[in-house]
Amino acid sequence: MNKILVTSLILAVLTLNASAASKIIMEGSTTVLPIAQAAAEVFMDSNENVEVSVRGGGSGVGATSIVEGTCDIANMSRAMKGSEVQKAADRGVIAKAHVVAMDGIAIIVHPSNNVSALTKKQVKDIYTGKISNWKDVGGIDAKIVVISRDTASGTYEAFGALAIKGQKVRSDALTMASNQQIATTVSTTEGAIGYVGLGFLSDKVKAPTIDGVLPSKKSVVTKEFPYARPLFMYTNGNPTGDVKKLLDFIKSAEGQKLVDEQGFVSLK
Amino acid sequence: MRKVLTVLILAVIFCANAFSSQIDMLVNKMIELNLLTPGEAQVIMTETNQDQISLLAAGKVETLPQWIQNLSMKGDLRTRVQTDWAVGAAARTRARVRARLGFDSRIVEGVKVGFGLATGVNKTLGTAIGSDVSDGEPRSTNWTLQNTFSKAPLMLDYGYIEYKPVGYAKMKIGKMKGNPVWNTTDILWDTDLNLDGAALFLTHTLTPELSLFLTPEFITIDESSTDSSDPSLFAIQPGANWKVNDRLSVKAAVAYYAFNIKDKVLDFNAGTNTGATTGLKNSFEALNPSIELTISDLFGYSLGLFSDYVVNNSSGEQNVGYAAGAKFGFAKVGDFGQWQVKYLRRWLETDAFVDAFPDSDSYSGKTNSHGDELVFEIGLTKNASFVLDYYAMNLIKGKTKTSEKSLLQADIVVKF
Repeated sequence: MNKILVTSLILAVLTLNASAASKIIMEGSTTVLPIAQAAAEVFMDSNENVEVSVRGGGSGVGATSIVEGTCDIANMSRAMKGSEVQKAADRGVIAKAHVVAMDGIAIIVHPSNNVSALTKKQVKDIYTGKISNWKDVGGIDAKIVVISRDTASGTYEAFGALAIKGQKVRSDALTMASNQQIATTVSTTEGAIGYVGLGFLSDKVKAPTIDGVLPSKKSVVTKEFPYARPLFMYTNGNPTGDVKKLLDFIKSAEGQKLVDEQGFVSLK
Repeated sequence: MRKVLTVLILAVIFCANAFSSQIDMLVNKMIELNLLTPGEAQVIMTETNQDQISLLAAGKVETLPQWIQNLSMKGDLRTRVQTDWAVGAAARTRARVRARLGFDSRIVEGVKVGFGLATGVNKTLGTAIGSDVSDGEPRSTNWTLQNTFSKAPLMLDYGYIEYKPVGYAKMKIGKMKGNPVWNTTDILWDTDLNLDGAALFLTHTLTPELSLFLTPEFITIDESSTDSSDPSLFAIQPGANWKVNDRLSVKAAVAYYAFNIKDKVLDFNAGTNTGATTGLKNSFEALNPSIELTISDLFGYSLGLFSDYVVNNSSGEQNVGYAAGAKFGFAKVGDFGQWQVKYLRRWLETDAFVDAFPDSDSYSGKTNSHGDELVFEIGLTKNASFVLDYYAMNLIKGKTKTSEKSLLQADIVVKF
């Protein structure tokens, strides 16, 4: 009787374990958040026993979280800093980076604008207020209409980090709520300059070269184009189990399609 | 087949101890041969680079000696021109230099040692101090350019052992770097002071936004062969870090200091505490709340508001001090054109705190002084900056027409 009872209990526990959902916590960058959310939804559809929880907070929060063991995957729009990697190592955490996408931002002007090439310094000076006339960058004598994104957007964050090095965008810049709005406004305003994700380039706007490099998927993934950066997901050491399955999915052709759909540059 | 070839080639690279640049070259070659797409190449190069950084930090790169992987070095060099003004006296201008070099190394998991060298003047106690009164003190690492190009001594600035058995606890022992107890200003503790003794650092994370800390320390101030009760300090500081939202964070703590220095004369005292040169009249049981509020994005810049307050309960009068100020600009000046401006109001009564420890530039490190400090820093290039630091100070008690003093320091600081 005792044997039957013990066997039943073991079976019950095993059954419970088998049916229990495993949980993956992703935390960190708000830029990477849309990729993580989209991937999590599709992944959970085909892996019903896995629950993926996605939280924002910023790349710094992600780094802290992976170091302290409170998340399985840290989403980061930058590489971990030396101090963060060292902190992780001190706690026995080997920060393993996984590049999941590239982020690229193109500068756009009106098609009639005769400026076809800009330098990084000129872009920075235009957006921080040092240059206000197209003639100062080889164009006609006309005021530059500067267009930027709202401060809550990931594109604004990326542009701030890559193009103006954390400085403040000039106060007279017009603020738009989306990439599409910027593309539309630039296409209809002769003196305008704006910045958009690569997916919003069309023949209605002109994309000057930056330091001699045209924005393209290839120049972004090779980082030849200056306004490009890899987006990361970090794990503690090499991933295993469901975490590995999720990362493999994000890096797969299907996962990279989601990356493109979110307005980022896929790696495939 | 392509994947197999890729793996084989990469395996060869690692076996041959290739460095990242060589990997980059080979990966680029593989793109040319259509073995890799640019995207795959970017992943390999970036991830390899990051892996190397992580393995190096953990001391697990097989191709490098362990001691190299575990050793880190940093330092800085500062040149300074300082002018002191005092009413009724000629202005005095000095050119000074400070060099510091620090190392730390992880010995085994959880154990580190750190030591640093710095310039200064090795003054012999009991002799005349000489004309350059601030040199030779624990509160200064300046070397004044004088005496027909005389060489500057390089001394042990700090040297300690750190033991971290678990994530929430860390212990330091030795000549520690700075003061383990946190302060928002240097009104009580000069930033050049490296305290001797032991400290325990305890932290507890309540939520991702809120963490608590507790820092007790035992500090040896002096040793005497004829006195069994050597001057010492026990301090304990509970505090909290609170990230209110993405833009606002607050750090606050209260330190309690219990000194064992009554009736003693401390080396390098400033001579302003009651009985400083004959035997201190107070035991200095001081309470020191500190708070710092940081707004990370105000019109695109960072704003910090901070304050230190101290009350020495063992003295019934002239026992209060405070410093309150603000800084605005870039959170850190680390590159060309980045700037920060800071203002600090200082007030430190005669027996508010032990006069051997406050900022040595503030009325020569004396208590019974008050005034204003204004600092402007601008980045010259990456890791190099120009700093102007101005003090306008006077006595609190016993103020006279000639007691007002000011000084201006113009620094170029290069960090590496």
